[in-house]
Amino acid sequence: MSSKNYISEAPFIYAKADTTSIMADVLIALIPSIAAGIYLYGTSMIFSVLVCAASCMCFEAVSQKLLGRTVTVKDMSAAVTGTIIALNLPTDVSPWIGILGSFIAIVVVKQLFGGIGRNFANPALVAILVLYRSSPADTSSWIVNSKMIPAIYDAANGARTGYTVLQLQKINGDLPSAVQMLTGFKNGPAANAWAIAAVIGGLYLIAKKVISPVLPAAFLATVSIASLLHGSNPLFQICAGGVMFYAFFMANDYATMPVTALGKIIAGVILGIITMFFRTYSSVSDGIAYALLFVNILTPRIDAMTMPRPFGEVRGGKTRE
Amino acid sequence: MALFPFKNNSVRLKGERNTAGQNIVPIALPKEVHISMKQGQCDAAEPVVFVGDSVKVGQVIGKNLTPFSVPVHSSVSGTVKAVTNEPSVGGAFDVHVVIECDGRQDFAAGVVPPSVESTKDFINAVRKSGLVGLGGAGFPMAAKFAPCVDAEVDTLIINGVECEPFLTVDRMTMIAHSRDVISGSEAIMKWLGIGRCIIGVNRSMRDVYELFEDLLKEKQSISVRYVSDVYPIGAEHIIVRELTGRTLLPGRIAPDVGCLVCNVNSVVKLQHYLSTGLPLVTKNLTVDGSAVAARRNVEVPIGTLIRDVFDFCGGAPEGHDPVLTLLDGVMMGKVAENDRLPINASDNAVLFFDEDFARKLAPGACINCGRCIRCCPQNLMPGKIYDAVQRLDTAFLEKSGAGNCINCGACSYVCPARRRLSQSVFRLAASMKGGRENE
Repeated sequence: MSSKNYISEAPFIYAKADTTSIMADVLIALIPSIAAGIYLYGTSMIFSVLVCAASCMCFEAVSQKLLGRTVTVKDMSAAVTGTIIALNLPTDVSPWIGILGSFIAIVVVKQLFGGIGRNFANPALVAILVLYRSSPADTSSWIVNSKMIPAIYDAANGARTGYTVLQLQKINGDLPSAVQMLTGFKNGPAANAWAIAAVIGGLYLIAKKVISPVLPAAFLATVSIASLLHGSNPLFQICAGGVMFYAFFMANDYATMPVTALGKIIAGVILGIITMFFRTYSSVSDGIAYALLFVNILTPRIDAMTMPRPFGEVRGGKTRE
Repeated sequence: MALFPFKNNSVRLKGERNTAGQNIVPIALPKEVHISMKQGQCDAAEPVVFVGDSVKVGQVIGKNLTPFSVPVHSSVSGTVKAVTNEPSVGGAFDVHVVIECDGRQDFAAGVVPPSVESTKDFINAVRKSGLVGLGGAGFPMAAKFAPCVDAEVDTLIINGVECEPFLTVDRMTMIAHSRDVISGSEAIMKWLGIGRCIIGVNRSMRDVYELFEDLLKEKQSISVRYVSDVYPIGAEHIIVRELTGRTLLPGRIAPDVGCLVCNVNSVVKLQHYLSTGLPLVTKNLTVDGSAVAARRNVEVPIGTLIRDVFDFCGGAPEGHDPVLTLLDGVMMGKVAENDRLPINASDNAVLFFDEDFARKLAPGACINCGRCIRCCPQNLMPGKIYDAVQRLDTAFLEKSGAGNCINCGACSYVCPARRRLSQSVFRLAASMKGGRENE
């Protein structure tokens, strides 16, 4: 009886959740958003998700092989990244753009910075930003169709693509009502199309304890308060653009956001303030992405500031009791 | 108490308890026992018997030389076959007295109820009983009681909490010996001048709670209380906080905050000694795991070899040979390197597992999910400490508080990347403590 090739130190049992099951839960939580995309844009949505997810997984496997790392493509984190990229691109965009985005996310941002958990910024976020800036014409023409909120459909006036609600707001166009914003479909990336989809996915992740509700709550509360102060309808602001999707998905990326509850509150508040700042005072159309990138870069500082005080350890003259 | 009392983080374990409701049965007398002179976290005793001596149950075979050692008694009657240095769990060597049983189990002449008339008598009796804390730490009971004489201790906590999966032996002991738990507690309260006693049990032990509630109707000073079914709620400083709201800071002992914590098994054994004079010679164990046929609770003479326990429980089921044997639970237990190691007083379980269970899971990369931080009862950041150990970041380790790790294993349990966090953090903690002592 020898215990050589077996676990040699306690504990000998493990919780069920592992990296793969967590990533699988995120993929499940993305299904409502994908469904909204399919409803609006048809099967091209499925095609673009498959292209991005498959290319992310390929890039992950190949780059890990070349870098001499263990190939961990089975943990599905690359599939999550690819799906999120696809949900943030127009479905009719050339597949090469999706593949370029996958390359930037997986090879440049993720693997070259050390692999899962070590990337300085959210890989999907950087990929989307690079694509938005490098080929703005291809990545910002959002198809409008009759399934969408009437105000958006009318504003497009028969054209293939039209203004998003945030652009309408900036040019003082007619805005949809708050209820329409919450329940109706908007043009733009599939991720942002139906606010309820992101909420359903987010609640699933919270129920499965994959994400904590702290950051979404802090972020949404900050956006609401800021829009009240600015005099616009809070419900309009949290349903417009990517706020819901960012609150429940992008801003809960483990590697690039603070780990402690206090850190999450700080990050959520900063993210909310910068997002509203971009929306109110700038002409940039995807301010929330820049806001999140900024918070990603701030995260190590926030983590260092919010380190929990060990039980019984004295710091600054106070003892944790 | 603070307005918002700080709760120790914890984790809910998904573990099996296959022996719940299995009464404790005495094991068939083994052919020989190997009684270690070091029954817990105490100084080793000095053997006082020689090869060829005949010994009886309860006879002193090891003398306590320091305040932190306990006398060791023979658990069987028979002949001393060897006094030898043999390996113990974890690779260390200890002096073992090997006794061949004659099967008669005669009691030694000294096994008579001690006469206790003062606190001093009581402490002496506890020392003579050879009792160490049976919850797992194995600290000499007398050394634990002694500081309570001078300190103002007002609460005796009887720790009936069993937070390790698989273990049910404390629960079954409380059911079988509920009256002994109460009279043992009363003896401790009487001689140490402690005013109240709280028996803490898990919320899942409803039958035990109701049993005690019934027995304690007339008694004002003893009460039974629930604690939640989370891990590691049975750790001393956490149960003290749960039941009294007092904070036991690292480096302090329970009497500093007016508490004395005793495991239920220890109290039962103490009561047996006070009423019969039989010292600590047997231990109750849970035998469980995927590689043992009959999962049950057993009472074994101290020094019984793991092999004999295994055989008594029917050996391995077809196709499930044990490849991993643990002494104590799956969260904090130690691997028994072979089946010829003896059972000590501080062991609470022997678990046998087959290959499916024991296969090592390859650790992956940290995904920074923060689960280890949210479950650490000591409020540490296990993942970050682990990383800092890897890159030898002493500046971070200094302020990380890693020295407070209690090695509960909760962080390793929850880690989705299966990183072996607690092992690394605890080793660091041990080395930091060692460093401090040397300063």
